[in-house]
Amino acid sequence: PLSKPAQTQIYQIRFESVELFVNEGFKLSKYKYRNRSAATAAEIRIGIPASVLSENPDFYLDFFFRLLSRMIHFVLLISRQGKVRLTKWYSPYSQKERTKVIRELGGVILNRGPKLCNFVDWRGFKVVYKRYASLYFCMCIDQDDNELEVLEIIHHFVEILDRYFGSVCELDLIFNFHKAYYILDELLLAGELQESSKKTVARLIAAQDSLVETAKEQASSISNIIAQATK
Amino acid sequence: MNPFSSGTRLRDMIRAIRACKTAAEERAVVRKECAAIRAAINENDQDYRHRNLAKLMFIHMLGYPTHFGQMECLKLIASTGFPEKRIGYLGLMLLLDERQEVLMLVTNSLKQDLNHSNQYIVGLALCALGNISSAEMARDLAPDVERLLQFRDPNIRKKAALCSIRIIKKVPDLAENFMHPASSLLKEKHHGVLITGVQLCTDLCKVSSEALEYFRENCIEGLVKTLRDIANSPYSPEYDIAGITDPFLHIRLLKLLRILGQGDAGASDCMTDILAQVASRTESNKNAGNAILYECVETIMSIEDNGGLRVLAINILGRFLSNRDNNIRYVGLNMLMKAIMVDAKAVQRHRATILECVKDSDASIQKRALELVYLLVNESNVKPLTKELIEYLEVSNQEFKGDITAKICSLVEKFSPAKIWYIDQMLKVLSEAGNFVKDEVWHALIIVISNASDLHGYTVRALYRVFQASTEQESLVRVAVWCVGEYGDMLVNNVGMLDIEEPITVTESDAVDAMEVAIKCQRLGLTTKAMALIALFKLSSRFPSCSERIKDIIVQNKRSLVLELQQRSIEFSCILQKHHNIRSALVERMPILDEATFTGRKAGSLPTAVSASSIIPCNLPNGIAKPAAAPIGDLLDLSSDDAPPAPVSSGGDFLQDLLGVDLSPASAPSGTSQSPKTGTDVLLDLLSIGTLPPVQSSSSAIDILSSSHDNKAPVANLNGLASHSSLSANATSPASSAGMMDLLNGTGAITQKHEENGPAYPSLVAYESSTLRMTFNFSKQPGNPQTTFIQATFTNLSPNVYNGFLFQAAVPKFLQLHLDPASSNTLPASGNGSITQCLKVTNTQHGKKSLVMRIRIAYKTNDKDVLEEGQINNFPRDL
Repeated sequence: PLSKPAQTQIYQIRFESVELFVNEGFKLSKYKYRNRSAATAAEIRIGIPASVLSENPDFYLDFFFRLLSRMIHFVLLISRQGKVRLTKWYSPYSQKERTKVIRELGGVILNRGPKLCNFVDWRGFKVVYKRYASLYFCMCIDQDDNELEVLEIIHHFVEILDRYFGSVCELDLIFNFHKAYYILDELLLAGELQESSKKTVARLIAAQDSLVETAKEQASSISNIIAQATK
Repeated sequence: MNPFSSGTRLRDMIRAIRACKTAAEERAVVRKECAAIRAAINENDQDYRHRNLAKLMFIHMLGYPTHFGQMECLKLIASTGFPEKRIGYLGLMLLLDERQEVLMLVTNSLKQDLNHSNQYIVGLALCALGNISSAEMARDLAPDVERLLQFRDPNIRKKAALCSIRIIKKVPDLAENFMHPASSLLKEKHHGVLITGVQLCTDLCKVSSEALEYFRENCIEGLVKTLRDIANSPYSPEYDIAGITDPFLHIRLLKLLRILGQGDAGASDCMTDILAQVASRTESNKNAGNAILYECVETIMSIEDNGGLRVLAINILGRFLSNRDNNIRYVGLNMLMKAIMVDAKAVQRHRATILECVKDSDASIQKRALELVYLLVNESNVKPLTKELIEYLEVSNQEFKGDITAKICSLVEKFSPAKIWYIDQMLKVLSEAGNFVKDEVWHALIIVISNASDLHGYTVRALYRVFQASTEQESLVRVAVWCVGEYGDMLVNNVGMLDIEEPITVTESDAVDAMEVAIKCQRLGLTTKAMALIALFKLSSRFPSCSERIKDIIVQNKRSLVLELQQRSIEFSCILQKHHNIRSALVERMPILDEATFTGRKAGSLPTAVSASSIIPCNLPNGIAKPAAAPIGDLLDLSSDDAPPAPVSSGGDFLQDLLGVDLSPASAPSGTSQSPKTGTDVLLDLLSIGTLPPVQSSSSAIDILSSSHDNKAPVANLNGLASHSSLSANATSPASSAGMMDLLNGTGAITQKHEENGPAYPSLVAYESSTLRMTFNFSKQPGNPQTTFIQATFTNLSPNVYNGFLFQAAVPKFLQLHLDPASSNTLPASGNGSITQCLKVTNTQHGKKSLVMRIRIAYKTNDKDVLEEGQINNFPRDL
């Protein structure tokens, strides 16, 4: 259970609602899921009446977490040689878990044949991946998310990268990895899609890049002035 | 200048790392860079701080530790310039996660930046907050984010919307504050804001029913109109993907409509037209269009019933299933799995195609299809579907065999129309993929065989045939060996011939040959060999003509290098030579194994079964008339056996001991080795089958016992089958070994014990380890049968004093437990005194369920903390 907080207990589960007590660091938060569909869906998923779930809460907890948060959990770019080119984690994963996830997924995805579908079931999640030249773009989503849409998001990301770097290649992403992250941050936030217009993303990145350029020029002109003054 | 500071640029460092030929070289380069960066950090070097952080991020990505750079992120964020902040926030998101306490320190900077005059800095802060905020931060900064939902620039509004999602997921109590600002986002024209606003509303609905009601009342029409506009919008290059304007917005709108329509007929009505339009007019030749259709189908299936729309949706899924693109087929199967709960008949129509998908070359599709087939099976189609699956089992690849075997076994068990069919199918599975079958599956098969008395002959002959054909599949061999041992005479004499059977001639020595093969075969494991040895021992009385040969085979095994086999053959040959008078009684056929207790046992181990397949169609409408075999409510109620309740402490324990349940290596020395080495000791060993897994041992032990104690056999078999009950902590007490001798002398030890215990509830050794014993004495107040008073007595069996002694107990929901304080918290050594503690247990399901308890005992001995845990489920039944 990777995304499971350190100490968690299901407080109460009734047919109509799900209440979770989650101990987050210092504070105890109470999560209420009052809508019926969450509880029913949980019931259908797990196949056990909700009334019984409370007898063995720890075991069913993972199901609930998966059920209640639909989003992209992480984004991973791996080269064909298994080298990591970009990672972005939207759910809490410790450093150790991250390494493990990357190793495990790399093994699964790099070994899949070319004509197979772009989805892999993995630890109760789904990983959508797509290969562009030597790079595999992977996104981990929940069981119920729309896999086809995530494929579109991956493609959307690649097109924006392409536009920014001018036919992007792996080397661009290695030497300008931070730029790739900036672009991703304009595209996804909190594991959700933020912008569907490639033009807007490009415009926002360009504006911020130029802010950086201006700051650099100012800095160098100031240091020139200082240098001349001290001569 | 710092002597370590290499002063290399980021680009140079990346180049240097890429130029490394070996991992060791790379480590050296990274080590040097890290040393330089650490030095710069110590010097508080400001000029290169952002460059150093960028380097650290790259190093982090390679998987090296970079925690020492975390504070640098905070410093950069706190600086004034945009470039520093930009890299600082990036570092924050990469190097930290929400569980690190360092993160708390950034809250103040975040607050300042959320109110910054530069909108890009506000954007950076929102991005960081949205990606890694903890619950505390979310609570602190929620008002600022809420305000930013009305910021003048749409790009900030959209970031604030997604940030709000993180906040309400972390702190659902705040949901109500975001409800109104979120609904005003739905009226925007900017696509980014719309997408994120719709997403925010969706997540609000998930955490707050109030929000759900609010959006239902106020937003449905607007949303339907937005969806209509976007679906009918003319070509717009900015948002166009494969001829569709902004499929992402389409999908999010459909998702929100789904949540609003679910369980609300009025809301569902409002959206039927637009759903019909999207479902019928969206182009399905590109991925983007299919993504919309996929989402639309899910919405149609989820909202309140509308027959016409559902037909449309199922047809789309049918098209998906026959699509040549693997991705589309995969999602088609996925959606059919959900559709089956809505319209099982419609899904059944696609059965043939789904079966084809089980045979697909793509593992992801195979897996989905198999799960779907599993859901499709019902009483009426179980025979053809099982046939298909078994046929496929023969050709499937190795990795998939485990999955498919498990599914077939579960189906056969659940829907079997007749015992003979069940046995036939299981034999097929075992002979095809016996090595993939789990232990409990063949255990169940043995129980079914034992219960089908008219099929004993048929089964043993069928098993003999497949055994002759191949001994590749170990669990098949085990079942065959067990059956030959039990029903060998029926094999030879063709007892109970069925019409469908072909006659088979097996001589007594053929049967013995078969067992010999099993013992001598190199491939087969110890368990199988031990089972074969027991079978031979049994045959020795069934086949008098072969008894000399059997004796020889057993004697040969006296030299076995495997201790277990060696010991057993010594014991067996001892019986064969010296104890003729009891032999025939010892090897008599087993009493019929009790199915109910076995299923009860299985219920106890249910959680593992659930995890094996995440979807269990307990309440799926595919015609499952039978309820799940085990009442899950009894999850903890492990002792739901119908066994005679009384002799739990003496006879019950004793039987368990006999069966070797508790003779796990740890507790073995405590019991058996203490008893004197007399002639009966051999038998004691014989009966307590050492370290073997208990199932096959139960077959012999129960059998041996059955002649004298038929009525106890169910208990025995129950315990034998429960492989890992914590009950096993009960060790052999001197009393039970005495009982053993009594038994062999032919006096009814158990009945005697029974009488001694009198009419009240017998006391119970509830827990015993090599170091500690806990005894329970029960009493009830007249007129209040629900409540039991238990006096627990703890005795120290070790030579050391226990301090800080603490006893804890937990019970399932139907019980209420009250613990009185213990008499002391120090337990003197070597049984020189004891601690007593009173418990009061109220059983709300008195008469229906028995008591059950988990215990934990903690103490200190020799300055070491010791923790012992166990489960007690051998309480007298009627407590």
